[in-house]
Order: sequence, then structure tokens, then C-alpha cells
Amino acid sequence: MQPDPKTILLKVLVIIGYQNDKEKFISEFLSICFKKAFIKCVESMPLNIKNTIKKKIVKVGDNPLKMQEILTEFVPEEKYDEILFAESLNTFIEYLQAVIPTLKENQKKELGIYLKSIAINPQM
Amino acid sequence: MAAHGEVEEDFHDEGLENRGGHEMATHASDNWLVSAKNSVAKWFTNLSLTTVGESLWSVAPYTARLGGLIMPIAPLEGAAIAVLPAAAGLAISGLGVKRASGSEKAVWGLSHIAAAAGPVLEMTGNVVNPGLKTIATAMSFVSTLWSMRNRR
Repeated sequence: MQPDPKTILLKVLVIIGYQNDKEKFISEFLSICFKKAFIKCVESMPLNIKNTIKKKIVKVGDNPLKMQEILTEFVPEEKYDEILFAESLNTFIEYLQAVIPTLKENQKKELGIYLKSIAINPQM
Repeated sequence: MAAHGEVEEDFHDEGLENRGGHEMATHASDNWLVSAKNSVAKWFTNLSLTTVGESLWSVAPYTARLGGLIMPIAPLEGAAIAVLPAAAGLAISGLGVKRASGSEKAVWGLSHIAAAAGPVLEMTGNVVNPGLKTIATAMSFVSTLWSMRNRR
């Protein structure tokens, strides 16, 4: 069973020795993933649809789930999946690239072992 | 006593070293998070909906950065996923990945992308540390996002 993103992030934070509120970090990280996907979707839309979404987003505020609901009207699920995939991938790799240079060799090794352990067991 | 002292000293040094490393990692993580949040928040603040474009469906393939490479990812519709590491000038296409429905298909597709992209990235030598493992895991990570979406 593949661990969920929260579990993966928590483990990564433990390995690197993250000292602040891990739950908060994870929540914000995932929020960024969803928001980036939202932005990517909207940026690719015709102007009239953008304006429609703009009006809707003002009402719901800074809430990724609400944003996702708005998109359901304009973006097919599979298209959204693709965009969420790409944006989440970018986000995760960006984070790793930022933090890995600060790690000790033993931390890098442990991180590599963990990443490998979850990468070699994809759900098929 | 001397031996005892040495042990204590070693333990102490290791603790300091780890603490320093943890602080740096924490700092780097928080810095990255703030930067990412600001980047996203800026868009919502501006809500610059001036870009006009073609419809979403005709937009060029999406890109993902893998180990420093910009990799266009073709839309997953239809029968194939094309992964093209632009920097390497190599292409993997026509993997014959069909999407079923829901998360299983997406995961299935991602597994194939990871398997195909990894060796190409290794060939370029342009991978992040810990390299292929990171990339494969990133694939794995994002694939699991499907399971937590609050989908219609």
C-alpha cells in the first residue's frame, strides 16, 4: 500500500530533522500544490472564462477545496488530474532541491533509502 | 574516566552537529515554503486574468522539471504518454499507456513514466541528489495526490 502524501511528507520532515510544526508545513505544502494546479488551469483558459472564475474566486477566498469545486464546472477531471500531477511534481522536486544541500550525508542516505522504498512499490 | 569522557565528548559533538544540520534544514524548508506561498499568493492578489489564450485543451504539453530538466508531458488523453527530456534531446513516446478511470489508471501511467524517464535522466547525468530515487519518488508522491482529492 503506497503511503499517502501526508505520510510521505511527514517522513521526509522527520528525516531532515525539521524542527517546527510539521503538520502545519504539510498542510501548507499540499495547499500550494492544489493552488498551483488551480492557477495553471485558469491561466490556460479563455478570457471570458477567466473572468467568470475571477468572480467566483473572490467569493470563496483562499480555500483550495473551494477552488477545486469551481474548476469542476470548467475543467474535465482528467485534465485537472494531469495539471495537478505536473504542478505537484514541480513543487515536490523544488522542495527537495532546496533542502537537500543542507543535509548531512547520513540524512541524504536515509532520505534516499526512504524515497527508494516507496518508489519501488507503485500501485499497479 | 578518560574513556567515559571521550564518549561524552563524541556524543556531545554529534548532537551539536545534528542540531546544526536540523536547523539548516528547517530554515531551508521554511524559506522554501514562504517563497512558494508568496509566489502563489501573488497570483491571487493580482488575479491578473489578462492572459488570453487558446482553450485549455489546445495548450502545449505541460512541463515538469525533473532533476533540472524541463520535461514536457503530453496530455494523457488517448493512448500515449510522451515524455521528452528536452535537455537530453531524447524522447520517450508512445508508451501505450491507457488511462482507465480514477486513480488506478493515473498511478499506472505514472509508474510507466517513472520507469521510462529514469534511465534517460541518468544518461544525462543531470539529476538531483539522490537522483533517480528522488524522481521516482516524486512520481510516486504526486500519484498519491489523486487519492486525496475531494473530487466530484
